[in-house]
Amino acid sequence: MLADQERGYWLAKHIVPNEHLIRTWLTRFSDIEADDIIQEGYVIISEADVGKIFNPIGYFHTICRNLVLRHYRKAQVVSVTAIADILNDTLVDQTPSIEDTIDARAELRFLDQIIQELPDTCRKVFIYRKIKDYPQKECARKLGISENSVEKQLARALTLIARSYGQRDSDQRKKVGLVRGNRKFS
Amino acid sequence: MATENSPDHVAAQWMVRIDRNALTQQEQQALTTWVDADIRHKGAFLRAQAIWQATNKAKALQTPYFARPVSIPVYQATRLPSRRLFFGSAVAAASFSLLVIASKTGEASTQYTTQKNILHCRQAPGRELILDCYTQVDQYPEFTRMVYGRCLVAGAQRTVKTSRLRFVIHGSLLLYKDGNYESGIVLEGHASVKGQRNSEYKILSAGEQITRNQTGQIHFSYLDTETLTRLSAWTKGQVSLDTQTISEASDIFNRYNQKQLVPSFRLADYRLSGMFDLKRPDVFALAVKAVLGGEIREDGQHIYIE
Repeated sequence: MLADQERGYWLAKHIVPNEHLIRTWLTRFSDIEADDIIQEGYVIISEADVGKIFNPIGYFHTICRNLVLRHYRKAQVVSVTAIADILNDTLVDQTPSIEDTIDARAELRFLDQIIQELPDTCRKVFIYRKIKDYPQKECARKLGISENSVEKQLARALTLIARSYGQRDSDQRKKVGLVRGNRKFS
Repeated sequence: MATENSPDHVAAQWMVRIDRNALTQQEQQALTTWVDADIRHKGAFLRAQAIWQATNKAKALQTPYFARPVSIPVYQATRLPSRRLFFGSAVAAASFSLLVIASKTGEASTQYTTQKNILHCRQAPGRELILDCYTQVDQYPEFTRMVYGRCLVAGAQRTVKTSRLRFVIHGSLLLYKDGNYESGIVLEGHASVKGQRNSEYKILSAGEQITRNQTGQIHFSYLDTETLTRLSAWTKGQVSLDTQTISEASDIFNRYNQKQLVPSFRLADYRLSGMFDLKRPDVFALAVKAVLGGEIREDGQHIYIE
């Protein structure tokens, strides 16, 4: 409807796995809603001639940076720090390089990890639909639940997975927090 | 991020609804109305489509040959170290030298010394050594010894020593050493660090830091991604400022450059954030001018920011 399948594949391959890099960068602007910038960024990049983009995540970063700049141009009060961070012409290029992006194997590991972390029913539905490739109707029959439940659980899974893609780094930070504790130097 | 009514969740519901079977005309109209109502809705829907596509890769998880990743525990500790410890000491001079000498044991070693410059040594594929200004590192066949200063060491199963700390790294490690203080921060991968006895060791993961002071006290701490990026910015020839005063920032630039920044009394205590090229104090001065106003004046040795 909005994007052809090929464009969807391109976004899935180049932008989704590395979106967290941009979200990490956006966290420095405390008065900006990262979701708003990311969503608008998807619209703009989906309208670009993707065949000519050499560094997709870098291009996406540039789009988001311009959106942040536009936000501040409209704002009444702008912090010095914020402006210093996005002065395109005077700061060194912070665009993520192609080398920074996630490789396919790491991507698969990440996907495996977030599927394992889905709530039980949600995970089963997702596995039947996306890994075993059964249609939703067949998933419902095999799991003994209604088709509406399958749809609801699948939407929940997709929402949670979308969130995990967005919070990739911060999730890792959160997880590590509890473990250090009382471990002795031994 | 995604609550029940958030664009992301509504978009996910539409995506899954489309996956179930074709939309009715009424549903199609409802979707179009929702998407057109707000550019964020359109973006959320495009993103949901892309993530739906991205999860198609999950089919590969069915194969019995897919190796699950080995999880390496990462730990968080209590104290954040001062960044200034890293920027604290050295002053500027102008070149680096590379000497090849023989060690006392008869093993050949290579001594790397920098004065003003940052030195990149690509020793082999996957093995890297980067020295900050005013640093000395001795490279032996079996291990790397940090003598003083600051460096980044990368490699697999690589032994790195300071006076009192000994690491075996699988990834990259940022080391600092002066007369009073030694520290190692794992930037990528993990590193095992020996304790007081040979049988004692700990595994440090990315973000973990160990420090040892003059009295032998050891501290462990955990640094977030942003702090790691800031601390390792110099390895890419950049300086990452996080609300340092302009006078502090000038000190950092002046370590690496002949042309010295001189901020005025009026501007010296203003604070600035951002990423700058270490070798371009003139660009930093322009940024200060753009953000805070003022004038730039230069002579052969100085850039005055007034």
